Amino acid sequence: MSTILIVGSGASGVHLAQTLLERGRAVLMLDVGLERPAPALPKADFNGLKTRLDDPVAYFLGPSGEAVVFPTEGARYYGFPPSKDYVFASPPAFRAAASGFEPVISFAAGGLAEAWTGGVYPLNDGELVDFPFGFSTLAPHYATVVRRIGITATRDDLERYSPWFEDYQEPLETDPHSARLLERYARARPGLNKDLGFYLGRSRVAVLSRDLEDRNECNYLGRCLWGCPREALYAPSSTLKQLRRHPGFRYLPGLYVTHFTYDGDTVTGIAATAVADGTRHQFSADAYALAAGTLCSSKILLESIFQRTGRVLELSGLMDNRQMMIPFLNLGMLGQVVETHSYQFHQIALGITRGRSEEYVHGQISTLKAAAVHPVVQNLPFDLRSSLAIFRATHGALGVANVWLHDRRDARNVVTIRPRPNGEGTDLVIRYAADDDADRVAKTMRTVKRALWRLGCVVPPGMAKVLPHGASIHYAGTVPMSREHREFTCTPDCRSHDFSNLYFADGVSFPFLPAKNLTFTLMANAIRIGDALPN
Amino acid sequence: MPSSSDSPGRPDATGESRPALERECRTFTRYLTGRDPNDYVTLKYTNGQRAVVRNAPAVSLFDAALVRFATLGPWRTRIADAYARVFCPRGVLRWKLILMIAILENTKGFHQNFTAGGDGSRPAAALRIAGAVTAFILALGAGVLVLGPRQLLGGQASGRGPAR
Repeated sequence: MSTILIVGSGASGVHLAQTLLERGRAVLMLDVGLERPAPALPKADFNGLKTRLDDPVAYFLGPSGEAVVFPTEGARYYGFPPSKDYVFASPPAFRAAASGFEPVISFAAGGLAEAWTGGVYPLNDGELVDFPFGFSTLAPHYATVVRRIGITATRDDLERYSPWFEDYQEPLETDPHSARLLERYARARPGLNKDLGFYLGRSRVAVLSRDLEDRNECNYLGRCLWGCPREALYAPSSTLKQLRRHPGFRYLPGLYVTHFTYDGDTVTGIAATAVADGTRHQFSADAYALAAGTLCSSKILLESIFQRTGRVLELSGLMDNRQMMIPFLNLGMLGQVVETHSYQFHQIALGITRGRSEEYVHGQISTLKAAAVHPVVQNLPFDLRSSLAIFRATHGALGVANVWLHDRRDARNVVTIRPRPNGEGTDLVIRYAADDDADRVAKTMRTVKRALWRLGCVVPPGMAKVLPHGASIHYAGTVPMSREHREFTCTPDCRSHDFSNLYFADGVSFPFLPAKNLTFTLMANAIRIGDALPN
Repeated sequence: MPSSSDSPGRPDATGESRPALERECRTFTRYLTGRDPNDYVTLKYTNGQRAVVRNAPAVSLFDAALVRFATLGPWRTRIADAYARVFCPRGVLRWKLILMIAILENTKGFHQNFTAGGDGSRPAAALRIAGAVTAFILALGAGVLVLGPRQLLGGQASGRGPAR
């Protein structure tokens, strides 16, 4: 039985592994694999954590207040809770430097999707126009993902952008604010569609409304942001847990992969450093798949060439969805009671098309329920006592639209490495130079504000933010799929054009980055790669 | 319940003594909630100064004066806060008050003040908003009269950092 070695346990890695195991292959997975801590008081709801924990402030803000969002330049409207710290921690051997880009990298078991909000939207033919295949190729693999992870959805206007799958689960109950937005949309729909190309519907979310294998349906504890104790919100670590019970699967955490060794066009092994003691290890297999995330997989490729030849190369074409965060106030919800027993992330998604379909703008609308209060009130233009009074009166009316734009490969956006002076490996370096999307951003912002106005909402002046490049954490494009045999590209099946037994299972292979959250497509594409991988 | 390793009376990392921080905590909690803090809140606030120290910008003389003024009572806190929101929104007073809110919103007995939302009445909500905005304008006006001249008279000179 041939063995495939996979680097990384994120959304791509675990679904590639599952597919290979189902095809009778053996899988060895190397991973830093930082573990999610056990959830506190698994049956308690959001407010129950505050009343029943011995030290709730330490839980919500960290033992030293690390999660307090202070009033700094560019402070966001939310903070990451300490229970998610493991997602963003790095091993000591890893260092990165970036300009024009704020990279977010994960070494967690399960990768970055351990901290996602579960938005899953298939790409359509228009968005796959630069890919060497269309929707019909990916469709069966999307359907497999739907069955594996459980996705809730309903048939609505978003179907024009997001093709339908029969195995979707029925959607969760909407919170009162989201329900009101949908009601207003139903009345304002013709004008919004015709004048603004604006469509609204229920989010497609990887959260369970029915039990699925080891995972339990959502029972509205309101703890989504702090880590669902019922695993209702899908995270790749759930799949990893299943894989670890399979006899053909071997998982080796605690290993930081630095590079691969090769002979001619054949990869001969993977070199890794133990996180615990710095010892070096070598692993070999019949074929290799990099699924460490776009930035880390790029670094592994570059460092491999550097270790063998001494050459420092660059991979160009790094992509990232520009993200806007547009807070709003729904005037019809002023003074309403806030219901924390609800699904906390986005329940509504939006789509805007004004031109070609690959220029589709995607967004998700979250209504504010159990999020932290202090990051929000400090942004209101009043003293904090007044801000708190206003916040209480408007809490049930607050929401935020997160909106993403597509990105194209640009030679100015580069991933490279910098050898360390002591000869001990390399640092990851990112240079993101392309910053010419101001017109698109301004136009999209105007459209969303006008649409929100027609839905009975106002955007407070000065509160909408354009996030820096890198903030979307949707990275792709450094080793794109290509039918032509070119250096640092891969085949339509994501096999390297440079190394005959090396596969790229994550976002590096995307030749274009549509506005939709890419995780669903990463999982489907990983399954496609697993299906196509020759014996 | 967590315990503190700091001795009572010893100057804290911010340079303020523990009794001074406890007084500050009591005033700020009254300002934000109309109630006194419990021991847990006080402990968390005094220990939380490290987070302020670690990250806050250096303190100007005016920043320090603003904190001292704010500690004199809840109404003075409101005046100082309204003034700080407009004229030094990233100063140390705002850092301390935001730390205070972060602690209170996660503490049993106080958290409902922050997360409960409205009572279902739109007119009542509109009145509350109007009242809060009016109070802010009055506090800001008082702040401009009381604190403005002090800031203009050289309060911008660099003073002792919060902890450095």
